[in-house]
Amino acid sequence: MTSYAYMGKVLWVDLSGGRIRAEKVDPAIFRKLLSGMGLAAWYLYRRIPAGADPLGPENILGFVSGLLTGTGSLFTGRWMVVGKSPLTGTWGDANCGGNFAPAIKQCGYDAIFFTGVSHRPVYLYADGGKAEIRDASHLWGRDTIETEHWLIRHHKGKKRPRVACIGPAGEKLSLIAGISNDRGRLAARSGLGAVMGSKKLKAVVLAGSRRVKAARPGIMKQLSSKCNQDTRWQPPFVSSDMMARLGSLMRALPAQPMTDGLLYKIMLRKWGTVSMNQASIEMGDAPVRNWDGCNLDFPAELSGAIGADAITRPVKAKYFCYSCPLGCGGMMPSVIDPQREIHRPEYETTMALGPLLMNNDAASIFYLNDLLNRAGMDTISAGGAVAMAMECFQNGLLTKSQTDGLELTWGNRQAIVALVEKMIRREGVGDLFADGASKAAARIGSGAPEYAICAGGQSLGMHDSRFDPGFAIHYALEPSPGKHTVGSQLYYEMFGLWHALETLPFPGLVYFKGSKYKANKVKAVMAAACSCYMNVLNGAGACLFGAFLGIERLPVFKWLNAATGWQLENERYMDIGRRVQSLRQLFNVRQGIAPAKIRISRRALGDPPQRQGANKGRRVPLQALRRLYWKEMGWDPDTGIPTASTCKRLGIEP
Amino acid sequence: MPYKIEQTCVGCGVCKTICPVGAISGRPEHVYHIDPELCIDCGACGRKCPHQSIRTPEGKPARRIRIRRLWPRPVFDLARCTACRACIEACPVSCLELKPDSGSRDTIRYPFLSRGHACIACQFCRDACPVDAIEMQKQ
Repeated sequence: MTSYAYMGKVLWVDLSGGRIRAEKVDPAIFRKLLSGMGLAAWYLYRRIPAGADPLGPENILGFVSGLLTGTGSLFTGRWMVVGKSPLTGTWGDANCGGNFAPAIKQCGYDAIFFTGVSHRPVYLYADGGKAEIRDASHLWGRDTIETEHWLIRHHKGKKRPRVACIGPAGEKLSLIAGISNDRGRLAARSGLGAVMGSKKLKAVVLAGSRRVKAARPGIMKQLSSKCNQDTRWQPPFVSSDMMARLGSLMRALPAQPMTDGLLYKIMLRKWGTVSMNQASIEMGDAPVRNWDGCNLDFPAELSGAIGADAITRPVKAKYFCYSCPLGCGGMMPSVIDPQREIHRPEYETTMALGPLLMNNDAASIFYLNDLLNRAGMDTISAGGAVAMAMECFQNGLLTKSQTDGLELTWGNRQAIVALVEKMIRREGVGDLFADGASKAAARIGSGAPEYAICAGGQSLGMHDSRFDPGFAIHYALEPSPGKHTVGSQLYYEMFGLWHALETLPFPGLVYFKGSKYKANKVKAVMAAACSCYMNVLNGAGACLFGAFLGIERLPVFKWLNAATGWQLENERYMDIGRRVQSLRQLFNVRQGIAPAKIRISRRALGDPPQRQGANKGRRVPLQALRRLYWKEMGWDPDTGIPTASTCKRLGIEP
Repeated sequence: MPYKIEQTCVGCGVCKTICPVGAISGRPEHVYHIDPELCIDCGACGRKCPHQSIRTPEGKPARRIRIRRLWPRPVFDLARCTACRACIEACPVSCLELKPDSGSRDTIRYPFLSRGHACIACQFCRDACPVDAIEMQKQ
């Protein structure tokens, strides 16, 4: 029987024994969980034993593609890497664009899972016919861009291969290491680069050519053409200073208009994610000075140097991920090797290495972005670790003699660069911070944990939960904590899900800002909808920025039906999202993680509240929101464990 | 459903040389064989076979186009193209690339046929294009 949208097989690679085998996947699993995150949850929940060492042979590292990838849809070129996170001990996943997502399916697989540990550095080579484990000793120690370049140059088949690899950070088991593809685009979060390093797996090289079929290709293209029209519409624009003024205006207003993602799309197409640099600082969305400062500490006169125009100045061309019509990325000459091109810094990177450290030197951010992408280290977590080091230094918990002579004062760009270089090499004081802020804080002791702004051990994304309390829910309560890519009040507004799902609430065209901080059922319903919807997107291989266009412009449910030939109602897709979320939560429970014990930094909740600035006096009632969110998910409101009745209703085994 | 080789095959091996995925095997002057597990239905073997010994997945004889220079090739409608690279990733012989234009943050690198001699006229690029910006034109 022809399978549409999915390939129907996964590849298992046992690195301890050097065995490779393909396994057929029951089509019912795709209907129940989609591909991507859902397929991964199905296997990892069952096959990673309780208490498995994340850096040991029992952990499974999976590379998964999305159900819509390659089917003629748009915004569906995201691949995911999954496993038990060595950083948080929980379910770990990281998501990346680039060109690797279709390559997995073109080899004939929906996912590639690695088990065991190799005794020497290796890489996997696969095409539509064979899959082989090959020696990578000569690549060990090379950075991500060099590694990718070498592997493409030395596989001279008819099809040019696509590569995912780790850099020195993953090799040195830095718990904030990620996995790179397409010249330094990182699946950065959850520390899964360290899992790859622990398995001595340097790279995955894929050169398949199989076609992915859609059940109704004509409808796929019709939907894509409409989506493309909405994406390409672009009004003329002015300079990025305007964004700072917009942010100031938004801060001053007592009420807030509902955000239509089309506005954000316009900015993304013009500048990419860095369009929001100055506006976010002004509004109170971007954390300043390790979340202790505010917009007044980093005013527009300072932030202009790292505004959208400044960061995009060296860009030579737009960058589009696979199947993306938006092109929010940009290519610029490498600072380290000007002969090659690298990706310009994104918003998260600029904020984590900029205002979080009180640094407004664009040149140092360009250099660090290049350095960290080559090393394969998460820029958010690296920034979070440096910020914590600086606050420890400021408060006397670290002295100059303990920092190898580095003067870790706020905004000291030489010290920031030197510390990051040491972290990558795990040299001297760098070794202390190479595993992220939370682990370093535990080693320093005393009052240091207060300065590690994390959830579940992972540094938070660069979106202040005191500005949008929705972020706090997802930072603290997701099965993979600390990530900013799941939900918030803002995301809910942009997703526009109430257009497709009648039961979901309309947030209102204008609302008072104070209403965001009230814990009530509506907040829980919106947060649960974001969680479920993101699981659908991650099962489809879809991009969050595409989803910001709104469900009416990014017709994910319609694409899924046309690609697979199913005729599921929108509500059934949200059930799938809930099922995947519950499976990931059950994964954590099986691994001995009590959801109620996952901690988020008090500072991120406004405890104590800030005394000045955009988020002055703001407090996030997370305890109350947590109970409401868990109840809405069908989980026990006290423990966060999916209840027996929920498991039964969703058809999953607890 | 893969392509198949008929008994009329004379074992010249031309099909084997053009197959992009190494799905065809055989000895000279014997009937060649297409591995159905490997075949990607690109049809290049059928366009090349001098004896029209290859059957399409629908069971019809594949049509030979004698001079390879005349095989249809992709032409891009840049007014429609989104530069999303779906065509580049779909191509089994990597004969498409993005133009290496270099300018500013507004510069868009569009796809083009960089190695026309390697194109096997499979139409994978056309089929993969989400916005119908590719047409296969006879040369």
